[in-house]
Amino acid sequence: MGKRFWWASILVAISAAVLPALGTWSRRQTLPQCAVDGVAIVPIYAVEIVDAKGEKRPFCCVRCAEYWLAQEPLPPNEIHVTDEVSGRPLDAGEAFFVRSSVVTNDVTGNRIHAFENRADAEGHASQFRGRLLTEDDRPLQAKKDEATKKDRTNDDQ
Amino acid sequence: MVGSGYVAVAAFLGALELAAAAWAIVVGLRSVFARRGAPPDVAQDRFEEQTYLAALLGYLVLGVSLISWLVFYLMLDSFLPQWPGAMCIYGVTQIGLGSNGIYGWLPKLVSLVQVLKPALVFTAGAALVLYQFYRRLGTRTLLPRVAWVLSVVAVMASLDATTELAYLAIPKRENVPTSGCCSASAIGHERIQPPSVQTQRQLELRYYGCHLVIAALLLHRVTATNLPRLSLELARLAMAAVTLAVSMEFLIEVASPRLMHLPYHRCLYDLVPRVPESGAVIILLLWGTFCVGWSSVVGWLGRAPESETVAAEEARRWRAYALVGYAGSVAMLSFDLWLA
Repeated sequence: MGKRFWWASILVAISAAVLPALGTWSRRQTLPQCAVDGVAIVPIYAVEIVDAKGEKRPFCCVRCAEYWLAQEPLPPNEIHVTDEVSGRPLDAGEAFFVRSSVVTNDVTGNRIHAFENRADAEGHASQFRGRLLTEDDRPLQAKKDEATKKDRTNDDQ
Repeated sequence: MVGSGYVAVAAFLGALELAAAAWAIVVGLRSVFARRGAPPDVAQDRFEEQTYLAALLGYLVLGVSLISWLVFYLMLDSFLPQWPGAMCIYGVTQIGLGSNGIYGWLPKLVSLVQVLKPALVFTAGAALVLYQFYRRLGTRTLLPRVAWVLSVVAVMASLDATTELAYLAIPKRENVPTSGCCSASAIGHERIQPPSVQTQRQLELRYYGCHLVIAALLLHRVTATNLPRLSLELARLAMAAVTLAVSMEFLIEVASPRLMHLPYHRCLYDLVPRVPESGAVIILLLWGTFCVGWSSVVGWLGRAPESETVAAEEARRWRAYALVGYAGSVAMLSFDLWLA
């Protein structure tokens, strides 16, 4: 084999060692991204799930969080949504959800909005042709119920 | 209506490729007719001249096809901000899905271009590897074979350029896809569920196993001075194709979710922009696969009584380059997965 072959081999060997290290290093500090579709998270629509192992999973919208929950075999420990008015995180069980014409994420087409106060939720619903979601069709609820059941069982034991 | 500056560049490159391909076809036809009725020596000289010209056009086609391959993906990427719901190139490839008429052809055309581009680069590379071998050897026995492979390149280039120009010409304004992200599409159950841990483990074993087998086949008879049997050459080609398919599946199903830290994101279109070194992994993998093919082309189409030993040496050289490509690709991906 000629010199060209050996130079090419050395170049490939160096690239195989350096490129992954450089790439991983350059990605060490990134903005929070959705655990499902990888898009950058807009803070006022952020959802956070603390899974059964205690790991925090950030999501860009309620729809992504629901998709994640549907895939997970174990119920989560906690689910937090963000109040669209104040930007404060709150427990999903205490939030008021509205399905309106406002799309929060073009990729998933999510139209569900979370609010801390009923008045804010109703205001959004009337302004953007929306509907306040009642107990039956509340998002992030089924798995939350399972989590509550799990807690109760643990308490009983 | 979707458009960008890359559309103009892609259209120019497509037109250039089509012109070069048409010219190469004309040169091929002229060389056939120029030989008719002429004395054998004169006819042979004319044929040689026409093949030189065709080879120059082959270099042009190879250069243009490599650039247009890159520009094509940059162009698809540039459509993203203009298309509601498209998060990555996957979303752009869904434009026109379910539409009637010519808009409905868009997804098929984009898929066809994605197959034709690498096939054209491989064929043009094979023709030029054979041509370089013919130039080095200087035997006229190989000339008709070089001309034949160059004419295949011309036909493929015209097909590729026509398909791409047709894709560019059709306005992209019909149905908006239900979702433009491979993982978000799964919400609508349009895609199958992610593979289980066991399936991922099996894929990992298959990936490393295929690379071990292809390495063994490339190293087999590495010191032999004569050309290998056809069965061994076919086994190498088949294994290279299997390795490519398994590696692509491994990259999509196992490597991309791990490298991007997105468990439900299984998409090559996202992997390369988010993990740029994976582009080098894919290039090295394609280089290894193409080199196996080119070594077979030299080994079989370069075979002549006076060139047997030199053809074996040349084929061995390309196999060595293939080995470097495969080894580099596996090493880089393994290290990246370990760091992830």
